[in-house]
Amino acid sequence: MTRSQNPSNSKKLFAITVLIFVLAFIGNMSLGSVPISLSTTFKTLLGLESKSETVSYIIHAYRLPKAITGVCVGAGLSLSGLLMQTLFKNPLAGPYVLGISSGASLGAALFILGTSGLGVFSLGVFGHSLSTTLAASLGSFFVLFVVMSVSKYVKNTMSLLIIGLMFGSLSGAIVSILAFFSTKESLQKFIFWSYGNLGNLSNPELGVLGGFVATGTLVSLVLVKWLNALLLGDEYAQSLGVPLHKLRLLIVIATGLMAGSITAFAGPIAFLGLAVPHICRLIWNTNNHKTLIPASLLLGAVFMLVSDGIAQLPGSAKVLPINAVTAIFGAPIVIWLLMRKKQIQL
Amino acid sequence: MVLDHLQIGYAKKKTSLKVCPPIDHSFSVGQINTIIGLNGSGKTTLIKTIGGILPALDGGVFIHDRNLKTIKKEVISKEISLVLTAPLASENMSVYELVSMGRYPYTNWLGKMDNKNHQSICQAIEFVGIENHTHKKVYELSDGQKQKALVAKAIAQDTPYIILDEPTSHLDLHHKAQLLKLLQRMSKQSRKTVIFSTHDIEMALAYSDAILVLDKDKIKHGSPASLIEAGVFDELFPKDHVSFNTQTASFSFKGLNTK
Repeated sequence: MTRSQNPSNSKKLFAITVLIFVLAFIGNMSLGSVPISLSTTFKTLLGLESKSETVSYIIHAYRLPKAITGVCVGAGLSLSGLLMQTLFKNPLAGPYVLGISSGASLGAALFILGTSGLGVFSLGVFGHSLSTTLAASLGSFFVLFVVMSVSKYVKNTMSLLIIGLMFGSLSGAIVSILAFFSTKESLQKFIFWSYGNLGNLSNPELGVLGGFVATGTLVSLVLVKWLNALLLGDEYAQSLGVPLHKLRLLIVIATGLMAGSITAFAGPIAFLGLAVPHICRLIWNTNNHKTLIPASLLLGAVFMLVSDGIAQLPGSAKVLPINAVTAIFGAPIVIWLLMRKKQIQL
Repeated sequence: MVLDHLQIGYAKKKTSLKVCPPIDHSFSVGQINTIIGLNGSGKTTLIKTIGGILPALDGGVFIHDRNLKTIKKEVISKEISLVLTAPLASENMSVYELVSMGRYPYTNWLGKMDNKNHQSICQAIEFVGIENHTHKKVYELSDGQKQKALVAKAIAQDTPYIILDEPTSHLDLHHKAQLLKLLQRMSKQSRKTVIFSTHDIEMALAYSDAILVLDKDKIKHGSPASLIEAGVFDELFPKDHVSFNTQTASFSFKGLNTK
């Protein structure tokens, strides 16, 4: 009797995904308002060639940080989605079910819409983007804190899910009221924030984002065995020795750190976190987190890099909102995979 | 396993919902113990309480003279394995993967399976006789095969106690008998204590060594023969629909096909 059907197949898939990831990473950097060829990008990255100061500057100062942001955002959101789907045993759960994104939106809205409505606001562009980030982080961590304190008293996971959704509706309503009373200019600013943006991060900010995503990943890797046990249901998991309450808290913290920091820095990016884990399940045909965690990280990063590449509208100076591209590009893939495989299983 | 004045039920903030009278009982080691009772008599609650996933309201469950609530979950997982009625949250895993989870209490944080674990998993799968389905997904199995896979998981967990909640409820007569024979073989071969609840009293009478009867006012226990003699089953159901025949140890329906 063998252990699994074909481990070599899974390894092959990983090798291909890593290759696609490298291509997407370099390809993402070569696209933009100033097109740079793939080979020049690659050589400039390795420091082998410095054809012109401008190219080197564009890549190192602007496109490399943006690509790394894309990797963190895509990987982090997909992993958060996977964790939430396993915790809630619900295929429709995503990184934002705990209300984290609505919290961030509320923070950003209070800052952008609220202050402008009162006529207090008078900072420069840079100061503005930084403080929006801060406001969004505060918002998402506030909601996370509330959800976590509530989760101590709530016994089942379904109630936690509904509480997260209620927070979403609540802050959505407050945002609407703020938007109704705010000026045209500030409303536009808020809408731009809600489109998502990978390009605005300074190096220290990128460090913070990377740190949070790495921490979340590390926590999930440590929990891999218990995450698998959770697939049997809470009671079976307990009978296999899983400390259920501790596990639940750790999953919520890991997701909160990742989804919270990502939303704060790059805006509420939809779709990815819900869809990528499903795509991984369909491609690798497994539910084992030992495969799904690295697969979601890799494929999430690839998705984000490719979506961002498309959003650059190669050959033009215009940029599409990233939030629209992820769904336009991703939804058909999920539908196509489903039609081929005929069924989806958590 | 000893139940000392065990009060089962569900705790709420101020009040608590007691399911049945306190239970004093000890399950016989290395034998088949069944728990029977009407719907709502507390079978599942009792199963979950002695399985360590539901706290006792009062009294306690003792294994090796230690109260279950003072033992860590990790330690309990090496003493007691469970087969429950709740559907699995995910069936998108192979039978091998499902059974391998029974080895989790014995593996490191990554759940790494060495050869010894691999052997236990294969033995468990062979023992229940579904080795032809080892690499099938759980959602591809029939109800009977699914139940056997779950029993294999419990066997792989290698615990002195195996507790099952209504393991025969979705099975036809043939598969019921097959599963119970399997449990019997398991308890005889490796001296495991099997405790399971069932609606199927005739089956329980035929296959178990000791029976615990949960009733609204009284808890009774004993061997099948002694319980029949004491007339426990004559009073178990309200007399208007069902009657018990002491000679054949079986129930018959009243008012059907009789004039």
